Amino acid sequence: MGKKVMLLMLVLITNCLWAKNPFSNIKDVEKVIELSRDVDLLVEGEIIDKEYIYIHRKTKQLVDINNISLDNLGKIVTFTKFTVRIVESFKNRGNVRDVNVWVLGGVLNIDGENKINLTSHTAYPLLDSGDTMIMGLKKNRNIHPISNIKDDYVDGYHFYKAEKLQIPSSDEMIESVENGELEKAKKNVYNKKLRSLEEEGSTEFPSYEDIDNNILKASIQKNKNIEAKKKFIKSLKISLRREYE
Amino acid sequence: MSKFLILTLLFISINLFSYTTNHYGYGMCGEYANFQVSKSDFPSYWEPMIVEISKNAANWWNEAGSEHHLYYDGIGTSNPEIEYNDWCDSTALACTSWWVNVGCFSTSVITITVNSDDSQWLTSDWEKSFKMQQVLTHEMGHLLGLGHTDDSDDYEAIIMNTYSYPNKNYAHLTEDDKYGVRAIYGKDDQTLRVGSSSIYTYYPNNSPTIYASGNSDYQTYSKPQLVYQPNTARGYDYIAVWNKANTREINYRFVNDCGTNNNSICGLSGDTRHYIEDSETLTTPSIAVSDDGYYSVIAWKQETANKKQNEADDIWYSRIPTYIHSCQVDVNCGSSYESHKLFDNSGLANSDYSSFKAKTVSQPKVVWVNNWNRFVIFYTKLDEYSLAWRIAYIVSTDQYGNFSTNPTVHYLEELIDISTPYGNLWYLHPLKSNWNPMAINCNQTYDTTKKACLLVFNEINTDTNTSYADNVAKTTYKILEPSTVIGSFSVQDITKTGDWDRKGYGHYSIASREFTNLPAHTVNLLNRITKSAKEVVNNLRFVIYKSGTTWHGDTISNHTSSTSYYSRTGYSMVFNPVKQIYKYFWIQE
Repeated sequence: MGKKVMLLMLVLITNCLWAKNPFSNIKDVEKVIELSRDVDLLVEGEIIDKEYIYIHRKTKQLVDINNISLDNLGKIVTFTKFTVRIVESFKNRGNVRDVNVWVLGGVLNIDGENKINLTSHTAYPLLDSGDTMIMGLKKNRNIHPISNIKDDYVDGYHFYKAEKLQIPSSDEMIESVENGELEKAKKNVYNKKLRSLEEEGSTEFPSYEDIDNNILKASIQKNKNIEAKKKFIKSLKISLRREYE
Repeated sequence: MSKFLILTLLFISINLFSYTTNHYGYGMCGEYANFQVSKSDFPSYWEPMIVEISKNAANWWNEAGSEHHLYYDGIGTSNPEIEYNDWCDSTALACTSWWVNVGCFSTSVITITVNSDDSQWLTSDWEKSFKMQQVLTHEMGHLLGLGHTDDSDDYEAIIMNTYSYPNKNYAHLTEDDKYGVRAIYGKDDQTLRVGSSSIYTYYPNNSPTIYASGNSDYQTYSKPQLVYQPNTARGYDYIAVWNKANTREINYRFVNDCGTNNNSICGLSGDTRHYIEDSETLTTPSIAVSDDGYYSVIAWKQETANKKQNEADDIWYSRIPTYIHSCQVDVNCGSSYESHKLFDNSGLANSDYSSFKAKTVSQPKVVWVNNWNRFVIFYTKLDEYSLAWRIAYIVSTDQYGNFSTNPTVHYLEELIDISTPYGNLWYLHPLKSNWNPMAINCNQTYDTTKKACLLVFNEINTDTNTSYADNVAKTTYKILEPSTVIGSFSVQDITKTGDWDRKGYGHYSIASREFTNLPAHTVNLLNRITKSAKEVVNNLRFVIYKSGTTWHGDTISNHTSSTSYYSRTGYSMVFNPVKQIYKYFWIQE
């Protein structure tokens, strides 16, 4: 229960970036290419590992997790360091097989309970091993004066332009996103119906199942979307190869 | 299998909760949060103004109509904290971070970080200041539990948009922002309360209490208005006017005075609620009744669609045969009344400022001028030449509240005497305001025989040559005496300069001060502003109240800063003249 509610909340506050993937047609390919000009590395990558790093917000010293409690949690900043295995490199391809991607935020277990640190800009700490995306990566700045990790950090990358350049690319991810969109569409249809009945002064309201026809339409649309997005990813990859060959 | 499936499915179920109040798993815990500003982190050019900007940003959200409020709790590092640091992504001006597990956000783990990478900020101090207001408003939206809007082309949803756009107006919260925060915390409507036999006008104080009326038709986004209807032949002494919360449509109803309590109105039976078609406003509607009580005019401000930066809003009005309240005689009225746009053709044609024609930056105020047998609608209009805001007015063409489609726009001006080395110089001084010209009552007697208006407004300072002088203002009182020519007022200054003078930029000298030595006619006017003899001067930065037999004025907040930065932060308040202030008003016994 706890974990589900937690995830629910996290997804809301981070606006579920991947659930709102806006890409669907050929014009979007051009947009991605345009945005990708600013990145240092453009790859299709799979997350294979992650590690959390805890830093004191004010002293900027690494903090031992044993010294973190609920009392000082507000002063702790977390980074998640992902190890990303490059499936295909589009821009600035080299011999590098894995790169590190640093994301502000992470997870800490206190007294058997997971506490999650997120920022307004990203829910990416929730990515997990196996997740595969086209990633627009920018080299980290030389700003964090934490001596023990500085070199490691500066060698790494961060996600650039959020969902505009982090695009779920595996079939599994695309399908899960669209399943989510379908549920949202169902809920919207249902809520709209309830609102109109309420305005009419009705005291009887349909159940979720009573709006089957509309749900059917949404399901058909979902399947169309999945196909469109898979097609989009294919054409995006071809265009990126051509652009940066 | 990744977590994406779980996440996306869970995201959907958000809608199940999206119209409940707090404590359902997102948003901040509790009904308020006290934030602190880590002021010493900020570089010297930010330091003098960062607190005021933070408070302004919080106030925007506080006035969005939700049940949650953010309060500034001094300089310090207690969470929620606003700090200046380098944790954010490289291209972000700021970010908000929090720790969560289950349930609502604990205030003790939220931090807003303003990006200390100065290259991300614009170079001019003024631009920085305005940008900071936008940025902190955006971050406080996150603090309250709002995410980014995902549609970069959505013109309306700009405050919580991921990116900023140079041509959009960031000087106010959008509907999308307000609905978002209300969806999380529930509404904090000011309520025209309906009891078993009475309506109460209720103005929230600093700790708003919600009176659930049980009837959403009487919930309102703005202060409800109550006006005395002189002719009681139909059995109703008052007209109550409000904008209905969910539709924002103007509603009104004829009611009676209970006679025992100045704030309670009886007589709900007999008349029904009426509404004005196609009327929509978030601000307080204004109403005036003709001297014979036969006709009323309601005026309101309607936000201009697709408003550009600095663009003002439309004025609309509706005339209502109030005596014939249920329309037995006037065949043109039904259960609802049509709204009309007020035209103002005085703008410069084909100029950059032509879009300001017929537009107001303040709530319009309608009054009945007995001497002319006419209604007059006052508003503040952008002056094409000085880019300051002049108090303008348009006079109805008849006593029934009809207005011309090509009306003459008048401006309030007074003759000023300046002593120069060469003698006295007289010139016409336009009255300028950066707030709603309010408390205008044009049907009161003074000097035993004359009927005149009392005008109270936030006068823009024109004494200095500083670049931000327009943001400096003081409260000014004038008497407007209608001349024999319809449309022409003579203006008399009754402001007590010694008491009301400002000290420093945007700093008001008055603080809980008794008004002494007011002219008898001024006291007379103040006493007659409302039948209840108690008045809050709306939308100015003061409250005026009567304690015992004397009148007092209080500043709404005591600004101690005398630095030049204060007035820059005031810029945003100028563009958001309506919503900042409501919660500070109360009926003072």
